[in-house]
Amino acid sequence: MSVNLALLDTSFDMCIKCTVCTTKCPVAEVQPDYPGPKQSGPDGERWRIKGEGFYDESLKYCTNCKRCEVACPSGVEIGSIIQKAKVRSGRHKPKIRDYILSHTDLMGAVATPVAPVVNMVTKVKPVRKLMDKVLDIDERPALPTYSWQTFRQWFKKDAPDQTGFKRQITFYHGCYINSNDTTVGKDLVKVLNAMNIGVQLLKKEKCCGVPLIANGFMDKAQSNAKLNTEQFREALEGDSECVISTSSSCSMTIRDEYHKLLEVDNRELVDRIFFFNTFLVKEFEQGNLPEMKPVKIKIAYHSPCHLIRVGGIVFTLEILRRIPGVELHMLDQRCCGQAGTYGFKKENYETSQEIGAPIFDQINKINPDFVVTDCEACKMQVESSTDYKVLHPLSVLARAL
Amino acid sequence: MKFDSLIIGGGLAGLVCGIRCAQAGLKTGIISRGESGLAFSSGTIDLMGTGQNRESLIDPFKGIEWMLLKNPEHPYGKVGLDNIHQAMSWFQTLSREIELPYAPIAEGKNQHRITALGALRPTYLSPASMVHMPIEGKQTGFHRVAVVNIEGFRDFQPELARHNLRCLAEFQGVEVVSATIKLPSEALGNRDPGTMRSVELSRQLDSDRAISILAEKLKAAIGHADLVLLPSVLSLSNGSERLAQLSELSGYKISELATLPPSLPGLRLSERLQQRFHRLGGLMMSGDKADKGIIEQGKVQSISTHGNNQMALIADHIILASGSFMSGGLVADRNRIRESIFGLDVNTDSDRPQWANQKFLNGKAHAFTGFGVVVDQYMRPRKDNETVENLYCIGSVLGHAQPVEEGSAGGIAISTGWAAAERIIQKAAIQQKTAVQKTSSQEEIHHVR
Repeated sequence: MSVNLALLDTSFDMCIKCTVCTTKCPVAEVQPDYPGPKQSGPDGERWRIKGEGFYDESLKYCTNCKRCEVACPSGVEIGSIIQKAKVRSGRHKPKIRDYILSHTDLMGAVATPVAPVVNMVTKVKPVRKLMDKVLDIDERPALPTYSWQTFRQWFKKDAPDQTGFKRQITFYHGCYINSNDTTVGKDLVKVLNAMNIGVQLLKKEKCCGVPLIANGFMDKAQSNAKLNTEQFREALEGDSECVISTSSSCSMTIRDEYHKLLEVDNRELVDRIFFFNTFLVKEFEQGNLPEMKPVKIKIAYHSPCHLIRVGGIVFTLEILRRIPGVELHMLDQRCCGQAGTYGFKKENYETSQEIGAPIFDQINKINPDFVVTDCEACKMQVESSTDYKVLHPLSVLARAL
Repeated sequence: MKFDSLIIGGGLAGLVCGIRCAQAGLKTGIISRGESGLAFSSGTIDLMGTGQNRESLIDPFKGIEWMLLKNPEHPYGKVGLDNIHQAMSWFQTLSREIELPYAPIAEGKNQHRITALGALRPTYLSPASMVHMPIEGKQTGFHRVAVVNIEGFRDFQPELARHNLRCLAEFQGVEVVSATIKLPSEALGNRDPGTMRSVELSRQLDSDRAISILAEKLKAAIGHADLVLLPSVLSLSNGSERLAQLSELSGYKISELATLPPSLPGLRLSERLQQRFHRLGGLMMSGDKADKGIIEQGKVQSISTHGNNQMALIADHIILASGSFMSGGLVADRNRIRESIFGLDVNTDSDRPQWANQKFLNGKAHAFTGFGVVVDQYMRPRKDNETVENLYCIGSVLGHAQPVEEGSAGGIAISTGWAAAERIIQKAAIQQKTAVQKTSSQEEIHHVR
């Protein structure tokens, strides 16, 4: 069965036409060709249910950052309305480029065995020029590098023994940790072990689906969601207390989009699928706080859009505030402009940079030792656009152990 | 997760209460579902604008005193006049701290605000970007007033405003003119202003260059004028600064008029207050929604939210600032009104046909605008007739007020938000004192042993 996007969803009727969403849209702020979320979302949908002729090109500008949904006083899921319309319209046929950017687990499997070569090649200017010309992947942003040893390989061969812990959780690592940067995964193991909790992996896992949804591969996203959900069920029926993810976008997708957008019913499981921050704060409050030594670093925290959407920023802040010695600076809650794969695309690169510019300026002004954020896409954008290195909150915590 | 104080609702009342609590060093959270009513407001603060005979009140505090004689259950009655005074002056200090100063025309005196349709409305505090017009006397002190629009901007009609102003007694003998100025297309990013709403236009005009072009065009178009009225289209975040800059460059006294929603002056206030709350270490859960609160043994035990149902939020003090019908704090079912999060007792006992007047816009207050939560003198509500000890209700979720008819919504939000925070700060100080005493006496015992 394929994803049934044709079902008539009239939730746009809740829109009271106040236009507040458009005042908060980072794309509308810098890209006047984009009419804004109100027009592209609920207003446009009112016409699109009439017929094919009412779909328009401007839908492509939406990054699905969901700030419109955060601003909406009437509970309209504006971002989702636009994403669904984009797919339904059939006009935004995914290109080869979109396939490459969105099939993150497949690309990881292909690239990691030859990681040094891939990493070198994607830094070579003529190659990037060629990718720019042929694939429409902009030549300017730094592309993610690949890891020589995947996280799964490390976990199997080099991770400390996890069987001695009475309490066990299952870690959904996602593509970025497995193929690109294994640090956060290793840090999660270190932190949880320090809290007397053992870590297991799923027998197998696929990309959560977030880049697939954004690039219009809905059927593939659905089959991934099915596989992951089966794996979660199996793990949770075993000796695992819960499933933990360290990526804010993976968590949001699994918790909110599997059921609502991809029609994979995981409702009986979602209460046991945690983003790392809620799990840790719960443990801390029950007294399970690892012993920490001061970490004397100055950090600037950037709030990822998708974590704002689910009201989760406060839990990460609670963790960072408990680490002794950390000097925490809050960056204004603005979008960094990367939005997953959006910023890599040639047609979006400039919009993406303009959206992020105020954040980059603020980082430069604060001049921190590190920028800290929960999202790997934000990390790529900030590292590509500034001279600062970006850490995951777990990596700050791991430094205190 | 545990807070000292946890506020449901990020509108004016919630933000005021949150900022005051955070100033006092309390660990404070605000759960906020979407932008608040400020996005639709004029950006001025009404305290008590209209008297019993629908006259514009010069002294809002006297007006409150008179009103309370007839309606002692009004939220202002719970706060008390002294506290209302204190709350309003605290808010003025805060407004200077956030660099968006709000002031009355004179201490304790209402002023007139000019609307985009050219009407006068009584209000108490207004930002520096709006002219202070006295209510007393029938003279404005102006000789020539120009109402100006930017050609193509569709959400403001200067001729209509001009016509209506001319009809007012206050503007007799004042020459009121209107003008539309055409900006060169490079000042508008080479775009047609006819396609822009106020926010979009403000993004184009938020530059030194655009402001200086605008200043030149103004001078050329209107000649002498001792007041220029412009729709609020100059910069969302730095509107007051841009207006002052335009004033200086052009030599005119300029006042902005809030246009159709979204209202720039209101959004500006909301943005600055949120920023303040963040900088004081306040924790904002925007995008999340309080789903349900558990009340047991006369106390709120926990709050569950839509985005984080895995972790209950708990707090010593909970503040309900969820607003009225429009914000979803109150919900009207077929035959009853209910408070949406806790199911608190409300002041509605009439049948549905009595909820609204036959004529909707005849100027008389509807019963439904006075509906809301019933509270005791500390603004604590009741559920099933039992007082909820650690819950406080503030702002427009409160019953027994007629904010539209009275012109009192802003004042109620600020004074109840401030008063609830003061009460919480007091209680927290007492708790801390007892806690300190406990630990020191334990230490003594330890020492003796």
